[in-house]
Amino acid sequence: MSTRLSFIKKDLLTEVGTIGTGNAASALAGLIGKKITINVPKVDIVPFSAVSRLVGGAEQVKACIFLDVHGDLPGTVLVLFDRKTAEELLSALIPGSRVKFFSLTPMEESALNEIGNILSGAYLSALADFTGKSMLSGLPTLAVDIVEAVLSVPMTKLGPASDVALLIQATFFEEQKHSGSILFIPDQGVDQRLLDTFGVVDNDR
Amino acid sequence: MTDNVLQIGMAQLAVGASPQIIRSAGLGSCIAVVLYDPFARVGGMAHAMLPRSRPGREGNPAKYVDTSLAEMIQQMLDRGCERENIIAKLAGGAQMFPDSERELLVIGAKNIQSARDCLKQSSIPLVAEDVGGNWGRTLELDCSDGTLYIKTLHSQATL
Repeated sequence: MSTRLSFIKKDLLTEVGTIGTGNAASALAGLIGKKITINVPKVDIVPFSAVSRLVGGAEQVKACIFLDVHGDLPGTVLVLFDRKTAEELLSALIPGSRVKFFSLTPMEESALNEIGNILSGAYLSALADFTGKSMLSGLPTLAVDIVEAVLSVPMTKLGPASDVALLIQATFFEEQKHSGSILFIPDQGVDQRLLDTFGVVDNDR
Repeated sequence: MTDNVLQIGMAQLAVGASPQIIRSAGLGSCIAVVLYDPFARVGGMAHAMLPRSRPGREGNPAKYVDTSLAEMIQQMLDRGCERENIIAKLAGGAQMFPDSERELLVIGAKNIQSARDCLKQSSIPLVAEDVGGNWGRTLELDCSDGTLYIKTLHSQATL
């Protein structure tokens, strides 16, 4: 993978991230009955050593839901919630529960996995509609830990063929208080496939 | 003060001398191979992602357990270490996600095995390890005495 992003590629991938995140945000809004806003996604190519800096700095602890993406445009989706947001989401969905972030019950873990699944599904189906390609997510799996440690898993997937990762990262908010983010990390070569899908010629390559 | 701390991230390695500290935050399925020569008081740490390089496709040596070990040994010899004085410690190789059906998610165990094998092949004694589990680790190697400090979300250890 090239270590820099041309203007046109960055533009297209930002659009891709916006479409996916927009749909995921409406799914979340429907789920919790509140208004959700999103920011413009950040798109970057970074060496593995710099990935954590891009995802909010090292040693941040979050609830991270990991999903493999299969189909024409494979990759990884990570849905991240900070502690407060995860706890409030769970209290809203499971009435009467007293959520302990670091010792979630199986019920709470599966609720978070399901939220990740719904957001990822909404994100990917919007992209699939937009591109006309198939994109399906695998089963969600959850870790509550340091974000950088969690990121080692999708980076391992890219590792054999690359020294850098392409990250499409968007954040969504509920009244500026609660936030979460969705990361789409396309597999090696998928960014080029996206350009080809739209017939975009990247002269800057 | 900041020059005293060598910070390394995923797929990076560093060699330092007393009183420097080599630090790596948020180690997940990656494994940290830590080497130390107590006589030269020189230490090294690699934050390796994958168990083994493929011949002809080595690239960045710090990415793989085998090539990062070879690279660190060379850098330590260049800095006056004696090969027979070098000892090793290992940390990391966690399985961050509980689903063990998927091959990608059990890479930690392969990294641990590769590190043990490579150390054996290089005849470097493995004196301590804190590996496996399903949690991330943050490490600091004190190059003045070779102590390795390990922090997780819920515990602390010293190797």
